Amino acid sequence: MVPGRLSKLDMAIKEIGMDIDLSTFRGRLELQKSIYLLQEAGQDLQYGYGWYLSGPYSRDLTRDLFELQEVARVSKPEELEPSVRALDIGAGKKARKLIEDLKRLGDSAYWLELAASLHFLNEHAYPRPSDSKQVIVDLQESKPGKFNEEDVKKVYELLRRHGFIKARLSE
Amino acid sequence: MSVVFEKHIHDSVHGYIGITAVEREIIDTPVFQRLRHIRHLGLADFVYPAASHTRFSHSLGSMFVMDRLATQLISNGKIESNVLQKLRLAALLHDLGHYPFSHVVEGVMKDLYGKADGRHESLTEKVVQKTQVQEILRSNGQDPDEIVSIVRGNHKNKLYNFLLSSDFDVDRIDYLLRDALHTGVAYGYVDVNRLVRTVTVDPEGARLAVLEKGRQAMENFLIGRYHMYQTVYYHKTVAAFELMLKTIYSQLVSSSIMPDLNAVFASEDQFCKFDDHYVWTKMAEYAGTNNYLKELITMLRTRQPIKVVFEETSLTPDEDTVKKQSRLRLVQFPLQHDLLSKTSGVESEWIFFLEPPSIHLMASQEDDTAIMVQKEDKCVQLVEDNTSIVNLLGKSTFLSPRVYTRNDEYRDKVRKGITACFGI
Repeated sequence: MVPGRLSKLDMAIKEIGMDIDLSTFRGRLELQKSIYLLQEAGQDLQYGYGWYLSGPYSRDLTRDLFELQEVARVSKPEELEPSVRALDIGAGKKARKLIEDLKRLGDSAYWLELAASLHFLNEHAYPRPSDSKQVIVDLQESKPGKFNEEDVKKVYELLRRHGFIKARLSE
Repeated sequence: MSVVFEKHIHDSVHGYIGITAVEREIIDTPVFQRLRHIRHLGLADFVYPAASHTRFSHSLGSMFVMDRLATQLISNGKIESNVLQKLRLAALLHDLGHYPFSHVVEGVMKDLYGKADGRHESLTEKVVQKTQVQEILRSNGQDPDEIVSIVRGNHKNKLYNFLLSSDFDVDRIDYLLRDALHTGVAYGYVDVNRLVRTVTVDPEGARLAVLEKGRQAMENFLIGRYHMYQTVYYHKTVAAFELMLKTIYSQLVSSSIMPDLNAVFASEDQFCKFDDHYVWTKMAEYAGTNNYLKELITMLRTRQPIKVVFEETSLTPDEDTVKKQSRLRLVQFPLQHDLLSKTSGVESEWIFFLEPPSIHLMASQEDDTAIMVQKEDKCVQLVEDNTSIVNLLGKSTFLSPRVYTRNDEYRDKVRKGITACFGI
């Protein structure tokens, strides 16, 4: 009966230092990719992601974000559902650090899309890439002209350093 | 490489559906035959008596629609011809892991175990991997992991994912046509021939689009869907029965009478029995001490719906309506729910809040899975096309928060309680 997941989502968004801005494509994209990275950091929010136009995308998350916006008109979600506080602090920190580093690189929507897409192709897509070289090729093929090789390598290294990807970049 | 049909099955919606050898092998498996015993529309036949069609016919129909769209895209050079069989198989298998009563029990599983683990696509993956379906696919030169990846939307080819799960996918086209036919509600009739003839792909190769000359067919598809949601899927009495079943099912899981997520697929044999009949039987046999549960089960089995106390609907709401809806939504939260129970003198468990998912003429909230239209030199989202009716209406959202209770006697009490507690 109680949408406890909305309270959890609300807290998760705050945990990674984001605001709910659904009025622009850019705002929605940044939330989609940030929540993806948070889940991959270990926070189980139960959003299933598929591989779509701008990389990993969750239709369930889109619906919940708009619903959260509606609920927030009435009251603060955490006040309505105070029992839901089961956030993984470690996962939040891990994701937040990565997101902050990505934002420091410049256009946050660009870098978040790159990072989430690279990670998804590496970990979840079919077929799985044979090595890090292949995942870079896969990403560039999926978005011709959007991400240059230097940026992709930079983000790969960042993902590895923050513990999102294990394998080193192959020469 | 075109597909070769071994036999044909006559379908109420599409006529003769050709079946290839691998498809026939899959259809003949016990796990696929199980879909004959899962109603496509849950409990909608309590309101629309002929709506007793099943996931079995919908799966065949989705495969047929996939064939038509994919064949058109192949003839336009948008996709390779050798992918037709795997796309057909993905459509055929997309509901293999559906729970009894379709989205009713799936909703319970999502509430209990989370949206990702509780969704039927997760179960589909498990069923493919743990049954003879996997071996049938392999022995016919198909990779089961690839088929599952299309069902789950993880395939590297974004278009495959879009074809099976988006605002304009084969699943929706079939279910609108099928539900319209079997409920007798005519709004869902879709000009599928026009849609197929005008389908194309956006320049990025990630989304389906229709040519400008197919725009009206697409608008009609969206309007049809909008009306089907209002008149069938979220009909107040259909929703009442589904709310009752969700409450019952949830309690039966808590009592270990119905299987939890881990036990749903304990064995293939057990899973094949896990259908609508299984749930009806478990309800009929309930002999526990929970009198509330007993009464709900009796009400459901004898078609006595819980009653709507208050509903506040809107499409383009004024300030007063927004305020009323916001106040009504408070009922779903524990403290306010208890307050309403005490004030009205009605036991908490007999006050139900339901807000059907918002209905959009056009899912304007979606980005990556939005419907596109190919203009002369560019591809735009239909909702952004200022020559489309969807541009005018598409950003509106139909909302209908509701409160239900046990019967007419309770309705008056709860109604007064809502006024006293929330000022509406």
